[in-house]
Amino acid sequence: MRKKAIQLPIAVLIIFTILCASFLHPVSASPEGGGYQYEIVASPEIAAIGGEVTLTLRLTDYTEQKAGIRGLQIDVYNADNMLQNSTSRSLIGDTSALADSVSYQPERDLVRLLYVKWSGTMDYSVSDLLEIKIPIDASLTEAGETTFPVRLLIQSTEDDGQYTYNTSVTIRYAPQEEIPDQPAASVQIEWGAMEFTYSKGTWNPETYTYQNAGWDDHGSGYIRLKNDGEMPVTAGLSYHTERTDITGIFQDENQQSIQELKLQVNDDRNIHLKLQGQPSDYLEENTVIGNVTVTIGGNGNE
Amino acid sequence: MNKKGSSSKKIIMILCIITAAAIAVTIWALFFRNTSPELAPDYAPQQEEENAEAIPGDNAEKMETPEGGSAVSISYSKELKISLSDETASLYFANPGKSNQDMVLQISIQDEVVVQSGTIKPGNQVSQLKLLNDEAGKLSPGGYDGKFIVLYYDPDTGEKAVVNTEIPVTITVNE
Repeated sequence: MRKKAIQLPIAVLIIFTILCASFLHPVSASPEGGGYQYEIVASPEIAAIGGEVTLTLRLTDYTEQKAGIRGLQIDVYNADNMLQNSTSRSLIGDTSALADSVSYQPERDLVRLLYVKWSGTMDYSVSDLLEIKIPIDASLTEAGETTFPVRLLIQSTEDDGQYTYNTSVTIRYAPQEEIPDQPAASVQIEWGAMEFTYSKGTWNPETYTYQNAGWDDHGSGYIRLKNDGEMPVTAGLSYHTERTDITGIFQDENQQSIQELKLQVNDDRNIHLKLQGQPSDYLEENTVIGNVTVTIGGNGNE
Repeated sequence: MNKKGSSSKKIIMILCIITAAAIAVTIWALFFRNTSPELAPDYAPQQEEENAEAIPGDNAEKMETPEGGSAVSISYSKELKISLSDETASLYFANPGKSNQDMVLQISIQDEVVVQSGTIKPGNQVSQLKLLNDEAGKLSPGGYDGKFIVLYYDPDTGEKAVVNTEIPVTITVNE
């Protein structure tokens, strides 16, 4: 009886270990750069001593043309004792995953992201994987740099779909007064009157329904964005309203839905706001039903 | 025995009332207490930003204004510093002369507005802004992710435009 009592948990442990190992089994060799493309971005390029630098690791080609990813392990190894005070988080945000967590592991002296999917694969909309914020020791007095080795393990749905990538990321820091001024960004934003009229459409006596109901902006529902600065930017568009009956989407010049666009230097784009939904009550003329936020940021080269 | 029983009941009643009050306060604090950040004014502040300066050499022509709409240009740097001792933010933000709207600039950290400028008219820029009252006490030295919130106002009517702009920025807070 006692023997059986010991054998059962041991059996469960062995089975569990085998299952875990089958998800993340680092291969001894894998084609460098094969399988998936990725990048690690350190921002800012030169951090001020006493400030912090943010590392972001992301996949750059994870689309439906690629095999789905069932598991990930990212290890960022400590260097110059900088990771102990860092804060990190998973950017995957998959609540259905068996594991999706990040932690600093002092016994291994590294930050590890572990992502495991029991069934299915990581959503193809995911690109950003891991963010680590590293404070720069305020007691430093001279400019310098630190290089962190990084290992990325990916388990895909392909046969033998196990990839290992070994790389590194270097952060640079300097006293505040030695950091060159960032070039200023400059953007022009133009918008129309944003006057929309809702029509119930025309009555079809054959089908007993109204047809062609919808919103008309009379050509005024546009936003024009021009980058007249020295560096590329990204521009995001969002429509905000407290109403639940009317929503808004944005379309580009080709009537394709768009929420974010990259503007290279001198790029000039027109985006149109399209309202959807029938008003649930009568709207007085000139009633403000929502507003638009243009979010400008990031690096248009990302 | 009856007296004891009656006295126990009273104590239990008092404890229940205290517990109910504690739950009510907790619910109010969690769901109903107004901790919302500074509200964007629907009309432009009467006062122009005192730290605004004319943009040197800015003599560009006004942008064409679409009927009923507007056009603006903004120039900015994505990194800024906050000094806790001076309670000021050092930054670069400009409303070039070719813009057709007045602007109000807010700096937001973790959804709380820590800086709100006065009106910045076209042709003006700011390199320094004061923190709002009590905001310095909520910050610690280090790095923060924040954002500029740029609000546009009709220079004639003062009415707020239906378009606004947000710009992610990196903030270094020093003593």
